Amino acid sequence: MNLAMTGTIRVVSYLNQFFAGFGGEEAASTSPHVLEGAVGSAKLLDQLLGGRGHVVATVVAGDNHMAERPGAVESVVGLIREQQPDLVVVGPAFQAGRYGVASARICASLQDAGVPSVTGLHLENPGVDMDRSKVYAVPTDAIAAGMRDAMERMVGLGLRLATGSEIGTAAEEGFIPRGIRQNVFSERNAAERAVELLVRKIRGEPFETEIPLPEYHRINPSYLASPLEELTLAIVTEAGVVPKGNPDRLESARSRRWLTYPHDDLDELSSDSHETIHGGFDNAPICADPNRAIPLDVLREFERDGVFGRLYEKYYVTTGMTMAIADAERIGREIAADLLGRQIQAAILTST
Amino acid sequence: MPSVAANIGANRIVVGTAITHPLGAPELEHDQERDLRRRIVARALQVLAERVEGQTVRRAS
Repeated sequence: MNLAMTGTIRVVSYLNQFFAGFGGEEAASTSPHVLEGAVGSAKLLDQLLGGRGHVVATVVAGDNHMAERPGAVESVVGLIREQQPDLVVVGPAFQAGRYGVASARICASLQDAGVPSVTGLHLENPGVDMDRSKVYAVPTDAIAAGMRDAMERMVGLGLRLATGSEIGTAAEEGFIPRGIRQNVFSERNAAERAVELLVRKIRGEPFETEIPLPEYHRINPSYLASPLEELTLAIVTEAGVVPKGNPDRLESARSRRWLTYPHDDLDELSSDSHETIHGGFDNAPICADPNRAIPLDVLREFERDGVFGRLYEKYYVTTGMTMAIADAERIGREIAADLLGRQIQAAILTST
Repeated sequence: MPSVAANIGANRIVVGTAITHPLGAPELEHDQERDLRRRIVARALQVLAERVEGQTVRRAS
């Protein structure tokens, strides 16, 4: 029987060990299982579908199994697809990290296979940032007290996905923005819309931006743990300064990595030893004198004069040019962790 | 680009000379340029040791 004949939609639910009723951490290594019909919290899902669809199977796997086993997502997706679902409802995972990451990866993989799926995540679940362009996730409470509300939202969006309805914007449909921009025709040009936004803002009326800007986190200032004269200082730069000839072929734009190069035998940088491959500006002045980006010459003076303790033997470099914010944040975390691991207490970041 | 540094949340910002040569000025004589660089880096070391309360932007003297 096909969809049109029965009028109902075949739904498969994916749950972790806890929400399937297998147990808590002691059951977190459970390997993927297929159970017939609705099990655990999938019973509520079945009830909320209200005859528009039925949960034909519940696929269950443990959080640790999913986080640790290579190929676990693929095997779960394989089990789900054997059930020939019209819709897969994954979770909701609330703020549970392992569960949320597994849920997002399963949804992304199903999306690649052309199978409609929906999950539910708290906005701070790390799963939110996994393959977000491929995942339909509704926002949920942090904890399972919000189960019914989350399930209702998942059912509403899931049925629309399963029936091939045209899906509107994240705000209209109530899912977490996937970071996808879509071109639409507008009756009014950008200048008219911009002036209207401005007027609304001046009047103190509610308004909604067309292009949300990235949100940056405020960070509390940190303080030196020891006096300047005693600490080790490092140089970090996004200026793309590399040894002459760019031996590791650092990218001039869209870099996704960082490198370190020794400078402990140098009193200054020179155009004979270093250059910049940064592609975002006229880099001739820095190529002519790389101290204009990495001020090694004067840092050596201050080091000799005892203004600070010691300059770390290498400098850290990447190219800050059309770099994805996610890459920039990761590179920042990685460099910071490397500095901390080497007991380097301070850094000067030079930026072009 | 101090405004970019401020936007992304840097707490200690020292204003450089220009995007193409943040710690120099090609139009200056070599010694003058080095003196300019020395003043910018000295300001950076100074603000590094300060207990700043929030985002702080400084210029070389």
